[in-house]
Amino acid sequence: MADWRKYSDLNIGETFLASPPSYVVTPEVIAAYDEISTSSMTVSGGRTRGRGIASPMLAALYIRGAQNGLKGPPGGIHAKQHFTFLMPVVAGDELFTVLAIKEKFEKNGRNFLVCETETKNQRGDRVAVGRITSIWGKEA
Amino acid sequence: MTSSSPLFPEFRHRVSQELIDRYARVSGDLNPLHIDPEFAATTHFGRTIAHGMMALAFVSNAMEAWVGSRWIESSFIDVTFLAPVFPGDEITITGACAESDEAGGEAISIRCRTGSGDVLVGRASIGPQA
Repeated sequence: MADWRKYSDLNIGETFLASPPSYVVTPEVIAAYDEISTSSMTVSGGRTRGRGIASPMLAALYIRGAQNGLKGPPGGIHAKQHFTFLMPVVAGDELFTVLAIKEKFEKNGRNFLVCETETKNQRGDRVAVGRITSIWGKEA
Repeated sequence: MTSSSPLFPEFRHRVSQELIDRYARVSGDLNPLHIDPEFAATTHFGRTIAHGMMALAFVSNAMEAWVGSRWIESSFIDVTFLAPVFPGDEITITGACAESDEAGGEAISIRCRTGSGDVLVGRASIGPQA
């Protein structure tokens, strides 16, 4: 597809925002995410949170908009992921994520991209930071 | 790990294409590698694979069940994805206590495996974050 970005066009230091720029956390998305995380369980465990408090890993959802800003070709995959969760996220929060390209390198014929994310809430508090190493999708 | 922390229990999740499709819709990650069998067949995987972040959702669930609200309040996770998870796979999540991190948090090493071997390894920590 013509609107995918080329790896060679990505620049270290370049930043991306989601579009729209904010992610509003709803009780519905918290519940849907929890349902996916628990419905597949075949052995033990369960959530302990009160209603309206999100799983920290909801970060995978609220940073997605900024990741989509990269406009990578289909077929890209995660190689590594780091998240630091700094404060709980609750229903009603409005989250703003900035993603920045930190590193590019080639290994075994594959193009790798290292990005960092920073997410703040509606009060300007940092709620999570992340570092993603991904393998860029094959460019046709 | 503190003496008050219980042993990390073993968790298992069965992954299906239906679950992957649902995760794609909720997360907004519509990469066809995960949801389009025709596209996935053209990749070196040969078929669809689960989102790596879905495996992390399972790990997060395990951490929460293990340490409760402390996982929500202040924590970190750092993982490497080693191999794909396919529809039909069962992921087993195990953990082992590790040394405390530099910031004084309690650390645990995490391992996820399927019948084919390890798919994810890493480390999680709860408590003070640098």
